Amino acid sequence: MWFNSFGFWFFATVVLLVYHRLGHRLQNRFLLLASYFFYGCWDWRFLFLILFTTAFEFFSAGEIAKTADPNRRRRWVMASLLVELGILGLFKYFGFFLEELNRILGTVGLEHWEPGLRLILPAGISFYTFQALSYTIDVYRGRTTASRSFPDFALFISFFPQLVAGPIERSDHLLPQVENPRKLLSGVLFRDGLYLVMTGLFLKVVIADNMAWLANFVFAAQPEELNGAEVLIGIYAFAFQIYGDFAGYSAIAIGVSKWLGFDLMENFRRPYFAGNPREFWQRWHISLSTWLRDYLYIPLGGNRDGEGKTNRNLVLTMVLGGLWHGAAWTFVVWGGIHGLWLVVHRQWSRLLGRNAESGASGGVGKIAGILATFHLVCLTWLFFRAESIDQALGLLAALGSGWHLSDFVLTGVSLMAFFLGPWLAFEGWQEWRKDSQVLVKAPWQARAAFYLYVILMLLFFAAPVSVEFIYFQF
Amino acid sequence: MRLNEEVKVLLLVGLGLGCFEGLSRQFETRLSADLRQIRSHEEIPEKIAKAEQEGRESVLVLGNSLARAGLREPEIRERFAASHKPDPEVLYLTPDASDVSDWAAAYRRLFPGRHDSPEPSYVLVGTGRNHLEDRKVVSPEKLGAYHAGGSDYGRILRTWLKTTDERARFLIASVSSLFANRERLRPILFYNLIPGYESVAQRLNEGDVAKVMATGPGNASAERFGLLLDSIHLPAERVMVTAIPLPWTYELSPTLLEAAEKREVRVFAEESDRLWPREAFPDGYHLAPDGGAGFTRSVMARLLP
Repeated sequence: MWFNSFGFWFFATVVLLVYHRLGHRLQNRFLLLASYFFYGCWDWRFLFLILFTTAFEFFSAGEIAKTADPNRRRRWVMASLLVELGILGLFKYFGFFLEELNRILGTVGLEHWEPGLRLILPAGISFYTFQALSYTIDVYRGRTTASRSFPDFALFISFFPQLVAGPIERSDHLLPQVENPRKLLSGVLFRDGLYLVMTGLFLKVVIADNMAWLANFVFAAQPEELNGAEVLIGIYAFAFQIYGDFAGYSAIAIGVSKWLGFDLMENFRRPYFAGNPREFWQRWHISLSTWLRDYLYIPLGGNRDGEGKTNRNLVLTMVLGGLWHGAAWTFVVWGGIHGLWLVVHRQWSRLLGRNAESGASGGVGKIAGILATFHLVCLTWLFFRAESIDQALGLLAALGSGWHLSDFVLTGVSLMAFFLGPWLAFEGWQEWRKDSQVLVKAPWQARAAFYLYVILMLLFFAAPVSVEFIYFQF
Repeated sequence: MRLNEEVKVLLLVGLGLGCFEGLSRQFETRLSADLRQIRSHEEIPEKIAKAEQEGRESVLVLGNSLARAGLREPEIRERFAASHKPDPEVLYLTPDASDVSDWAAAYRRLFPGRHDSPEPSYVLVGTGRNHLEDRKVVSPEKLGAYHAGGSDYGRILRTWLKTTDERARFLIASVSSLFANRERLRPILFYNLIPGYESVAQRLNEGDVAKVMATGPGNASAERFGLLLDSIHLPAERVMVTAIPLPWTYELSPTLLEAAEKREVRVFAEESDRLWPREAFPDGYHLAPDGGAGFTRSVMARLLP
C-alpha cells in the first residue's frame, strides 16, 4: 500500500473518519488495528516478527525499569541489543555474508555452501528495530519511563504513517503522544497536514519518479556506452530521485500524522542547500543522523577523547550508518566517504579557527559551499546507487570522457529544468526566509494556487513508469 | 485559524480543476488522433444501420493499431467487389494500445444485442500474440472513460480489475475527462519542446518492448474473449479471428483456440507463424501498406471464398 496509491488514500480516509469519532483509548486501539492491517498488506507473515519485537522490547524495558541493580539492567539492555540486532542481521545481512563466504570458499577451491534458506527482507525492519531499540536504551539510561500499556507501546512501534520508512521516532517524543489525549483536528492541523501531504506527493510522484526514469537508464547501461555528460545527468537525477522519494515519503507520513493529531519529527530540511557536510547531516534524514549520534557516536566516545578518537568515531558511525541501508560494499564506501569528509571538514574548520557550523560569510562563498557540498554528496550517491564498486568506478571513469550534448543530455537537462526548477526556487524562497512554513503562512489564495499547480503536475506529469519507494527496502 | 480558510483553499482548487475539466471535455479530441477515433466509435451503429437501409453489408474491424495496419479497407472492398457483393461499409473499432478488455466492453456497449439495435454483417478481430488473453487491463482509464457501458461495470470492477488502484482509476476516469486523458499532455508537450525527447523516450522504454518480445505463448484464461464472441450475435462463419503478423513469429495460446473452436469461430493464424522480412515493418511493429494489403487479401479470401 504505497503512499502514492489510491488504495492508501482510501485506507487513510476510512481511518481518519472513524478515528475522529472515537475517544482516546479507543482511538489507540483502532490505530493499532489499522497499523497492523497496513503492515499486513505488505506481507502478513511479518506481523509475527513485529509483534515479537514489540513484546520483547516491552518486556525488556519493563525488567530494566523494575530493578535498580546495574548488572541486571545491563544484562537486559544487552539482551535487547543482541536479539534486535540479531534479527536485523539475520534478515538483512545473512545473504551478504553468505555471498562473501562463498566467494572466499571459491578462492580456496571449496564448494559453495547453500543453506537452502532464502530470506526476504521485511518492510521497514531497519526503521522499527531502531525505534524499538532507542526506547529500551532510553529506559536503561533513565531518560524515559517504561510504558505500562502494551497496546500503547505496540502502537508506538507500529504507528502506520511512519512504520515502514520513518521518521525514526524517539520514545520521549512519540510515546507521550500515544499515551495522552491528542489535539482534535483543527484548522491549523488540517492546513499543516495538507501542505505536507501535497508537497510529499509532488516530491515523490513528480520529482522522484521522473528523475528515476533518467537515473535508471544511466545506472542500467554499461559505463563505456555513456559519455561524461550523460553520467553526470544520471547522478544528478539519482540525487533528486532519492531526495524526492524519501523526503516525499516523510512529508506524507508527517502530514497524515498531523491529521491524526500526532506531531512527528522533521526528517528533511532542504538538504541540498547545506553549505558543508556537517550541515548536510543536520538536514538529511535527521531522524537517522540524530539516532546515530545519540546511540552510536556518543557511546563510542563522541568528541570527548581527543582528535584521533573523534575522527575514528565519526568514520565508524558513518560506515555503520551506511551498512544500516543494506549489506553491500557500495553502502560501506558511501558511509566511509561521508565519514572521511566529516573528518576533513572538522580539521579544516579547526585549521581556519572557525566553528564547523559557520560557512564562508559572503554570498558568493555560501553559494560555492552549497555547490561544493552538493557535488560531494552526488559523488557519494554514485556509490550508493551503483550495483557494485566496479560499476561505480566505471561510471566515475566515464565521467571524465567524451563530453558532448547527446539527445539524452538535452532531454535530461530539459526535464530537470522543468521538474526541479520550480521546486528549487520554492526551496530557495524557504531558505532565504529561513522558514519551512513560509507558504503555510502566506495568504490562502497563494496556497490554493500552489495546490492547483501540484495537482495538475501530479495529473499530467507523473512519470511514465511508477517507481517503488526506495527506502521501503531498507 | 478557523477551518473555513482551508475550506476556501479547497474550494478554489476545486473550481480551478472544474475549469480544466471543462477545457478537457471541450478540446479532448484535439489532444490525439486516437481520441478522435475513439469518439467516432459512437457513430458506428448509426453507419451500420444506414448501410443496412441501403442494402449494403458492413464489416467491423476490431483490434488495435496492429489490426488497423493489417486489415485494410481497400482490400476488404476489393474482395466484396470480386464476390459481386455491394460495396460494404468498412468500420474500425481499433483504439491504440487496446486489447480484448476494451474490445469486448466497447462492442457490448455499442451493440447491446437488442432486437432493434443494428449489428455489423461481418466482424474481423485482429490480434497480436496475447491481446485476446485475460491480462491486466492496459488502461483502466480508457476502459472507464470510453469503452465500458454501465451494464458491464460490475463485472469489470469485480473480475477484470484486480487492485483498488485500478478500480479507482476506472471509476474516476468514467466521470472525469481531465483524469482519463492526463497522460496525453506530457508527450505532446515534450515531443514538441524538447529536442531529441522522442528518441530518448523510446530508448528509455526499450526494456518494456523487449519484455513483450520475450514472452512465449501465454497460458492466461480467455473469458473476455469468450464474452466478446458471445456478444457478437452473428452466424459463426461471419466472424473471424486473425493473428496479425509481427516482426517475430508467434502462436496463439491453446486456450484462445479452444474458446474460438467451441463457438465455431474461424481463426486465421497462418501468417503469424512464419517470419516476415524486417522491411515489412517500417516502424518495427506495424505492417507496411504492402504487407497489410497482402495479409488482408489472404484473410478476405478465407472469409468470402
